[in-house]
Amino acid sequence: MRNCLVIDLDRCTGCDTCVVACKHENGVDLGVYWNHVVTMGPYGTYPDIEMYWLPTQCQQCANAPCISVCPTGASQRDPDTGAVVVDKEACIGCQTCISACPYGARTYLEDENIVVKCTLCNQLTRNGEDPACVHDCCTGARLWGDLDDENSDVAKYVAAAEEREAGSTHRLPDPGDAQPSTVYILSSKTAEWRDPE
Amino acid sequence: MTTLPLLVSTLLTCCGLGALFFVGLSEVQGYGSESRTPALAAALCLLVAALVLQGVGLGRATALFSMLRGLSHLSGASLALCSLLAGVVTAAAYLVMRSRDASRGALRVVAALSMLVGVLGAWLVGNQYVIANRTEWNTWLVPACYAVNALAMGATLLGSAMALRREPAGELRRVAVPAAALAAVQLVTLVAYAGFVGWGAVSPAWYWAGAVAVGCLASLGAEVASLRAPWAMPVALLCTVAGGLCFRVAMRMLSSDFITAVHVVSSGVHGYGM
Repeated sequence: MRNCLVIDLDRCTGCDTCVVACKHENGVDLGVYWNHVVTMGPYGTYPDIEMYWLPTQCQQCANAPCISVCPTGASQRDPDTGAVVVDKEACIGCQTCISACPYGARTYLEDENIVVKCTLCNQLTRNGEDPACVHDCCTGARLWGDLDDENSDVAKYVAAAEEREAGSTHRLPDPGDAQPSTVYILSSKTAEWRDPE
Repeated sequence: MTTLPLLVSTLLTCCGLGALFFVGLSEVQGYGSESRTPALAAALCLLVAALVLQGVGLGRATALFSMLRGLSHLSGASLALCSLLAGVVTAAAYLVMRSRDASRGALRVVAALSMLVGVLGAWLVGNQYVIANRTEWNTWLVPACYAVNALAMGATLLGSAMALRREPAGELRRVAVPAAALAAVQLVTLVAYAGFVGWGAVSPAWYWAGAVAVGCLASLGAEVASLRAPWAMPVALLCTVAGGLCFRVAMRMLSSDFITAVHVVSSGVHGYGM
């Protein structure tokens, strides 16, 4: 099981609805974001310019380094949904996981002395619902499902994208061996994929 | 949590563990008999202070127990904490045995144990930073730098105790020579680490001036000088500790990742004041 997000950047308009939906569903504190929409570009010179939006959040890594470095086991994988979550009771706020995460997906809450992150709306997905960012995305750019299941919608969507244009599916850079799960689809007609720097 | 207490905590831990190693070594090799107990007491104080700083750094003392409960996860941070606790227990037991005039055989056993705890613990303290996704830290050179720095601090601490207690020059020489050798090894490991991360990547002030020039070269000079002038040994200790602190700061400064910068941009462009 590899439940994760598939984000079609050809469809994403950078409207930030996913950001708002996430904060609303999870009661995310002021100034804290569990997901971000990064503006990539514009690149090139007029009239040959291109840009796209890159939503980033926890990449639900298959070999999540945040889990292996956690000294208390607070960072763990939910056995039912496969999502990487943080047990707030067990978290001691040491922030080792923040050091280990290559994607800056975790936030330290000083008042509570804990670390929080996107859980893929574990409270919803456990009951068979979609994460809030997927449910509320107004362009249908976000999908959620089991990438390991060939018959799942996300697996079919990714396969179809690759069939339309080989090399149009991407993942964020993996400086270690985290194996990020989130798949981004960006075809060459929209823009050339660039790693965030 | 703030970085500074934990950063200083690792410095104190390494200094204490290094001293534990050299007190054990002096027991086995039979020198510095007048200075072992004060050096051991200093090591214990340093380790306890490191433990307190860890608790302060983590915001609450109970966090330490949570880390110990999670030891089965074998995370680097838990193992480093265990090293610190093992150092405290070993130093305390060693000190009690010395104060109660334990048999020579028993002292040699605990001395050997102290050496093991000292060198292994110092390695594990540095090893907690070896994280696959932190490419600047993901090398065995990091724990090597920590371990060598710990031993260098330990040697100069015992040497300082011997100098202050006016032990014979011949005895002081037995710790000054390995201290100088460790300063040279430390220089090699630091240069190798700078080569690993890129010569220009490290901070000139903290790394080259602080860790290398003061921590290794000035320390080496003071250790050599201590062969003739024992008062130079405390200077070597100060230089080695200052170098250790500078190395830790410089290493911390290396730690940044691409997405953090992206977040800053993202917040600025798309922030709705939420």
